[in-house]
Amino acid sequence: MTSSDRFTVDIRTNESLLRKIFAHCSDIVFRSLPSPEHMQLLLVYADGLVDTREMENTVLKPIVDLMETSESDGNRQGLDLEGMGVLAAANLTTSDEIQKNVDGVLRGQVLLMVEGASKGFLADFSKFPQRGIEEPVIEASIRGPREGFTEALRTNTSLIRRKLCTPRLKLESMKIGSLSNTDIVLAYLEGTAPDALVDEVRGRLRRIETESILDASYIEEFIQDHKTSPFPQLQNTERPDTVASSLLEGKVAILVNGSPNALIAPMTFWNGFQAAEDHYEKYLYVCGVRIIRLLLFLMSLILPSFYVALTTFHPQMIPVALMMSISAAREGIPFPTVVETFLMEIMFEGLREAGLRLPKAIGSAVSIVGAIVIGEAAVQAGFISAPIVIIVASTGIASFSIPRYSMSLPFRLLRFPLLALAGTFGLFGVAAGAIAILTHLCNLESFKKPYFTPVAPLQLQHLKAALIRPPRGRRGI
Amino acid sequence: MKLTRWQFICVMISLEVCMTIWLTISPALRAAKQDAWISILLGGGQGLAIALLMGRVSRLYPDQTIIQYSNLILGKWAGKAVSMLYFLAWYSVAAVILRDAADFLQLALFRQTPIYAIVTILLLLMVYINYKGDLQVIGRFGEIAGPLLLIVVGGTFVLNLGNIQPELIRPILSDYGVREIIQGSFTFASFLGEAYFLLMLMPFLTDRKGARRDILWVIAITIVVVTLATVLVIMLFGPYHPAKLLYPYFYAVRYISLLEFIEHMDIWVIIVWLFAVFVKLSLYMFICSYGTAQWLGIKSWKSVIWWFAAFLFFASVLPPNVTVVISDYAQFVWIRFVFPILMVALPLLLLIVGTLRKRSSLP
Repeated sequence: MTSSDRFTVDIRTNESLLRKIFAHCSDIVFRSLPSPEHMQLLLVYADGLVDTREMENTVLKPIVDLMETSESDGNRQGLDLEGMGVLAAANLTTSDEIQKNVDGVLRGQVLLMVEGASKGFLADFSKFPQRGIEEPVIEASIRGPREGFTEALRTNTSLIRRKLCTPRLKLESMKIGSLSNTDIVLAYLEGTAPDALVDEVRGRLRRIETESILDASYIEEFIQDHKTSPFPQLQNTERPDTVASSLLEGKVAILVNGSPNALIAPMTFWNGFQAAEDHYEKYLYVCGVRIIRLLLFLMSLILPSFYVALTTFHPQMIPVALMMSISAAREGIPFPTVVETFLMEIMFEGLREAGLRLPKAIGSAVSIVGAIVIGEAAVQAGFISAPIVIIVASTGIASFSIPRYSMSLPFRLLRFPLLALAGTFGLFGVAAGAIAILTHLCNLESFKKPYFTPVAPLQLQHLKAALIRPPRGRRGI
Repeated sequence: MKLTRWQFICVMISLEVCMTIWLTISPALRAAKQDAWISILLGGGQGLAIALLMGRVSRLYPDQTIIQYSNLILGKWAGKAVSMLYFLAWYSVAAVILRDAADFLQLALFRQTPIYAIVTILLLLMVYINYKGDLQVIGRFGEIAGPLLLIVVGGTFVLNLGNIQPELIRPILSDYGVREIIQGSFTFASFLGEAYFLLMLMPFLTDRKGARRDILWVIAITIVVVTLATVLVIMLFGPYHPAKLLYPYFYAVRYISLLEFIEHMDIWVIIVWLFAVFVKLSLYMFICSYGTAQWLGIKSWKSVIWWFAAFLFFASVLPPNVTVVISDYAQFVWIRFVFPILMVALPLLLLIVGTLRKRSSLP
């Protein structure tokens, strides 16, 4: 079947064509009404995607009434659906291309066919089960709106539209995926988002060639600049307010049907440390918290490797009293510090992974096992020194404090190569690793925007907004 | 591949400050003892003059590198020869800096790590920033490294305020004469002469008109930092002891002690300093690779990077010990040959001939 195939006038031929296309699709319903030959009517729809009661009230009843009246009048004409005013309510579209009609059925529309008309009528009664609007799980906030995106694209666009009631908010739609035909919406504020950026994103979306898009992350991988970088180059969020504020900053958002995550482009490094709540809490507090967050993220990256480098290569740098207690704790430990740290880090990642996958009821058991067995018993037995447990736990806490989950992943990953470097070259190894990471960050770009801006390249007017949150409004009101 | 004004300033500050604060204080102290800071100021004056000269030369053909316009000014063969001289200096000094830095790191941080391992890691990083990135990425990295270095160095001055004995700086200008002071100024002046980067970087600047002003700012800031560091060293240790040290400033940093808990700050300073040295080495790699590609007419300069890296590796690992590298190179090659010829004579020649040519070609 090609896109140029068209329906014929004969309804039986059309029906057999459709039945061939929908062979073995048990959810596609073919309904014919018991009616005289010249008024044959066929309904095709996907069960479960259609509000059947609504359909019966809006379409079937008027048609049956019409049939009855024309029957009693002795009228021998066929059904004229377009001429019937009653169907105006059903949001009718017509097409004689088979492909279009089939697509419509698959998207939850009802296809009506009548004898004598070589085209299909598509009425939109789509209704399918979906999750209600709930609070976003990953990005919960104390203050601010509590609604999160759902899997339904229309719901998501409506959430954004409600926040930005302006015709300048554009929601361009397109379909991607030769098999999945996924609906995608590109959202931006006209006049606020640079045209070059919108064109760039649109162009990259159009260039995607794939069979299916099952989630926003597919899109993310297709359109990001650097495929091999561990750092996220598009921000993903479940929060409509985050999307709205990003649009106001002149960014663009991409919404994908079936995914509760919106993508925001371009992303910079500093976006990873800004939580949605930062806009709602008092700004002084936010400034303080952001500084702490930056320290914590540094900790989550280099604390273990620092510990290893200092204790094995440069003990003279550690103040004497501290070094004494570390040495005392390490008395009789069979592993070298590097191996020990590696073991504990891998154990910790394992615990985290296990806790993630298990149902809540068993999840608590994992944490008990982790705390008691790994923490207590290993130290008691003298396999592992207590400082390592402290270091690994602090590192874990630090990496949980990064507000954007996707931003915490690269640090979790890069911790291990840094550990290896620290174990072989001490502080010089850590410094070399830091140089490599910084170089990589300076090299990264997200949709032509340097990833490390506004720090490098320096943009003074944006620097304040990236690192702290300046207060709103004028002084002295 | 463009450098913004701020990036250019930061990159130049990183490369000027990191070397001068490390290697020029000791020679000045050896020559002029407690008057070393006057030597530094004097050398700074020469450095400013050289920077001005470089700025003037680069302004002749602001959209070309010296490799290109030396051919225009002096004719093809003489121009190629001049470029060759510059390459000799750049190639050798890049290898010397790499070796020096590696030696210094080994001295400060390690016991038995072989020198070639350190050199290899640094080289890999340099190749990475040049090959995966380009000049712009070096510029961005410099934007982090430059200010960071200044902040940290400033911090070490402040933290050492409790330890200084200001009377050590006296008597001023009575023990030693003008000759010693002038003698002590040359090392610093020749290091400041690395403003010759401008001869290669001019076409890549977004603000070419302001380049001369920017480079003067860079030199001025460097002079302030190094003068302060020299004064600090003299006030901490007196004039005699640090003259025997190779890296007196870092000993001054090691002197910091706060709450009996914050000690051995020198290692942190060395790490920040390493960032700046990395900027400098990467930039040398860039100008050498790019210049060589221009000189030989190779289309993609990135293919030269690997050859240059291989050269650097062997050239920096071969010399047996650190004195050969630092003292001999500095005394016999850098100050006697590179400084007068490549930083003064040749730029002057290019400036004079170039200006005359431009005048005569104008109607």
